[in-house]
Amino acid sequence: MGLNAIDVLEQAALLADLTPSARDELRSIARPFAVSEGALLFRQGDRPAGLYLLGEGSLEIVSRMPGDDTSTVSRIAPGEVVGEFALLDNGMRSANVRALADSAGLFMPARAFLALLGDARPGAVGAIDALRGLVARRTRATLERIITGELAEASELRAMPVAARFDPVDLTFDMIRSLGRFARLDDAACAALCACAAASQVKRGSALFAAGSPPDAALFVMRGAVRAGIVRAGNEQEERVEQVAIHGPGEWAGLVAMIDGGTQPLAASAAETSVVLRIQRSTFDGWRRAPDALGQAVLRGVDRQLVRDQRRANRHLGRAVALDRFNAAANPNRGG
Amino acid sequence: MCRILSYLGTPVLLDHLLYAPDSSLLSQIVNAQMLDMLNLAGFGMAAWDPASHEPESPFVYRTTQVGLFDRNVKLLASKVAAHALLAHIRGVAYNSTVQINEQNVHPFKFDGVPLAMAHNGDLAGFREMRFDLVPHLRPEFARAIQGSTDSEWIYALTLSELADPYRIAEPEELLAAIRQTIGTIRKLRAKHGIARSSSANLIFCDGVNLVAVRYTFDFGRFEHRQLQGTTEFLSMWYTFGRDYGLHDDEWKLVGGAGSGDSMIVASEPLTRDFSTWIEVPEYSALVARRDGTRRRAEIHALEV
Repeated sequence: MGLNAIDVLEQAALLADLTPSARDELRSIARPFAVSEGALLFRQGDRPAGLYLLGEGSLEIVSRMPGDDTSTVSRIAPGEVVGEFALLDNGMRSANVRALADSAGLFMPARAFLALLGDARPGAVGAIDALRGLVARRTRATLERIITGELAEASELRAMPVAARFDPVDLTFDMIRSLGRFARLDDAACAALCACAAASQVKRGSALFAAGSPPDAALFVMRGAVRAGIVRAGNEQEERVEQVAIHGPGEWAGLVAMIDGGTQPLAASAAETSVVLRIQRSTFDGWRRAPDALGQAVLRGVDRQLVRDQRRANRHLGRAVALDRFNAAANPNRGG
Repeated sequence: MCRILSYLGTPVLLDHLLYAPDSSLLSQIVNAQMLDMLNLAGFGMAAWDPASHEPESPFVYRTTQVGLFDRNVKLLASKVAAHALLAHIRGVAYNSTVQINEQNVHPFKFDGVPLAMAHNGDLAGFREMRFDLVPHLRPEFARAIQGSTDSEWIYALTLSELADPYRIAEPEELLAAIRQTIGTIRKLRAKHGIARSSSANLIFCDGVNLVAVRYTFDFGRFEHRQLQGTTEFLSMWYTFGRDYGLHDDEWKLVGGAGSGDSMIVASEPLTRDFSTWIEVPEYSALVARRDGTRRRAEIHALEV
């Protein structure tokens, strides 16, 4: 295989917006990988070590399901990446990746990459934001499959939320530090967060944003629970909600749209009386371009949330598909 | 906090569920994957063995011993093959105010009633609201309560909402009783000003049907600083398929969802690799019901 690091990095569409010097930073930590046809590159449940940029060949992402079934998630072509969760989150691999043909490319070790990111090096800052965009687009695509599918049973649908009243809450340093992600923020960083964010309490059952609305602020859950869901027509054509995720304390709601710039794919409401923090979009986007210490702390949580959101969307789809198969077998006269 | 395991399907040797997998229920006593505490306050199970005398009645075993050290459980598990199981390890706060006795070991199953129940979680402020629950109990179930746990009261409340608790209820009827119980507790929590996160993850099993509830009152409204941002221990998982056993060095159900006749539901997966397990959504119930010779599974929203 005649691949070199320059070829692979140049052909990676994901990194197209990086400057040559930023690409050089990534090249300095990358190393080649090769995998033979039929071999596993990594296995679902493995500890992640890094990201793979495919230079040549073809890879298949396969997810396991109940009953030891498998489901092909997607195929990876040269110029595309796989294993991106490793740079965003330290959770386990979410799928098996197998080579459909002899394949080779570049491997980006997570540890070295995160060291670059910790130093706010332009190569890592640019690459991680490109990965955020990639994960957000993939999550949106999964959500669209769920939205356009008809797998949800009527029994799963819930009442629509009502209009919200946002009661202001005084944000204190102690409240901020009570959340693990922010436990180590110093007074200056806490003050900066208080200056750019507004905390408010919303009652159980209140709508926070609608599906299809533009994302004007990032929403962070301080206390309580926020439900994200799809609005469906119920049995008597009244609108009902199919729950996709519950965001508890320390989680972000509506991130896909904040990252990819599209409209909100899901509606959000307070599943319990909750305290939420709203961070204006301009501040959030500024952190993405040039993160200071506070921005880095925020974005590490954002990155984990993006991975969590994709895992939840995949799980929701997988659950619906698996239950449909299980129940179709239980009642063979039923279609589908 | 506790851990629960239930099974419904073709008969399986209990050892294969309780001991064999790399994160089996008994190993979760000291090494749970999703709960950062020990579960030392007892082990209990109700197991429906089709080859036993009166197979519609479960074999029930409870001990306040640490299950891992109980040789009787190990010996029984190597002999009994059950088509339905509800097993529980009890985890409690590490202090001397907790009552460790057999009456507080799950699962609960009153005499003459086919339904058994086990609980993962606890109701904050339960002692303050407990006596307001009495009017919602049938007298015979109020009298049957022997222990001091909130769990046994939840069980008694649910039974009290059933039209005929002495026969096997249809899942819809049981779901209605569960909703009524959750609604009663929610109202009384509001009356007493209790707004602290309180988990009521419950599994009900009568040997025929199974209902697994994942519900937390005031989800995410924690008092303890160290709990903020951690909700994994409140989860509930399931998997299905057929022929549960050791396949390719892995304890699992195989055969694909399309040929599945068996289901495992648990507070957390029984294996470290949980890629074939799926979460029950929050504020939902998973219903596994008999459908002719097979089974059907559904998710129901719990909007209470």
